[in-house]
Amino acid sequence: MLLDDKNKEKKLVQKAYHDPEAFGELYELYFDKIFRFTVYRVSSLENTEDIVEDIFEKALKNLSHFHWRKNANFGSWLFQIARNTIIDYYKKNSIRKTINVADLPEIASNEILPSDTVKRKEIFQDLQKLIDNLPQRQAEIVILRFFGERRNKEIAEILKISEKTVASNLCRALRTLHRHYRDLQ
Amino acid sequence: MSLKNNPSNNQNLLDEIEKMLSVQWRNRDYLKHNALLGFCAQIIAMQPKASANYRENLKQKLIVLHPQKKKADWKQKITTLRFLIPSRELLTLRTAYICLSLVLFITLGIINPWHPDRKNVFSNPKPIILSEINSIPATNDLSRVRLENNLTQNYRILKEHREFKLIEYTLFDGSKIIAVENILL
Repeated sequence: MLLDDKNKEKKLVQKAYHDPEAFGELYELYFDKIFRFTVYRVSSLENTEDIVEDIFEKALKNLSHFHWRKNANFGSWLFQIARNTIIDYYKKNSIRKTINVADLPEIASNEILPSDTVKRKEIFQDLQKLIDNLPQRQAEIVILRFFGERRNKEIAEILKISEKTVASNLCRALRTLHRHYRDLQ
Repeated sequence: MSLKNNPSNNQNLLDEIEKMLSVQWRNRDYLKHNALLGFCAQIIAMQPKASANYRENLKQKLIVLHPQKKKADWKQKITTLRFLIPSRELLTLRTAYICLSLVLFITLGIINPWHPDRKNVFSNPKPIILSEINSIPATNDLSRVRLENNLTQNYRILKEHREFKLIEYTLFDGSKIIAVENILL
C-alpha cells in the first residue's frame, strides 16, 4: 500500500467511527478481497456469503476497539477477523462436503482463463483442492497473498510470524502448487 | 530463471512476484515465458466474484447497523418528540394556575350543580309515594289517612300538633310553599 493510500485509509477509518457512509467506503475497498479470501477457504457460495456477512458485522461492531498502529493497519485487522471467523466456522462444521460446480461462485472472465464459465469454475475447484492439500500455514499464506492481496509484511502481522517465514513458506507453497498443477494437467 | 531452493532464489522469486503483482494486467505478457510466474498469474486471474445484489444488500445492511446511525435515529426521534413536549419557558407558576383552573372548570362542568334538574333535586321535597305511606307506623293512623286523602289535593299536612299544623301547598305552576296554620284561631 502506498503512503498516500495508507493516509487516506487512516482518515477513512477515523471517519467511519461516526459516519456510516465512510464505513460503506471501507466496505467497498475490502469487500472483494475478503470475499475471495473466504471463498478459497470455504468453497460453497452460500456459506461464503454467510461468513462474509458475519465478518463485516463483527468489524462494524468492534470498530471502536480498532486503533491504528505502526504495523497494524485496518486491512490486517479485518483479515484477522476474517481468519478467526473462518476458524470458528470450521470448529462448528468440521466435515468438509464436496461442492458441486453449480454451488461455486462465478469466476470473473480474464484473457488468461478459458472463456467458458463452467470450465473456469472447474479450474477454480482444482486450484482450491491443491491449495487445501498444502500444509495449513502455507495454504493460508497463499490465500492471503494472492486472493486477499496482502503484502508479506501484513501477512506476518496477521499470522503473528516473521516476514522471512512468510516469504519462505510462500515460495515453497508456490513450487508445490505449480508441480501438482502441471501433474493434474 | 533457476529456481533452486536457496534463500537468494526465494528472494528473486518473491521480487518477481511483487513486481508482477504491482504491474497492470496489460503488461503481464512477459510472464507467460516463465512457467512459475505464469502459474502465479493464473492464480491471480482466478477471481471468484460475489453477485452485485448480495454485495449491495450487505452494504445497506451494514449502514443501517452502524452504531452511529442507530444513535442518529434516536436523536431524530427525541427531536421530533420535543415538539410535543412544552418548552421550559412555559413551565411557570402562572401556567400551572391556568391549568389548575381549567381542570376545576372541567370537573365542575361534569358535576354541574347549577343544572335546573339538579336544583330541583336539592330544593324540592321528595315526592311521596304509596310505599312510603305504608311504611308509616300503625300508631299514627290518623295522620296516615289524612296524608292519603290529601295526595289528590293541592296540599298536604306535613306535621300536626295540638296548636298548629305544618302544611305544604302546591301552586298552579307546580311550585310549593309551606305554611304554618294555627288550629286555635
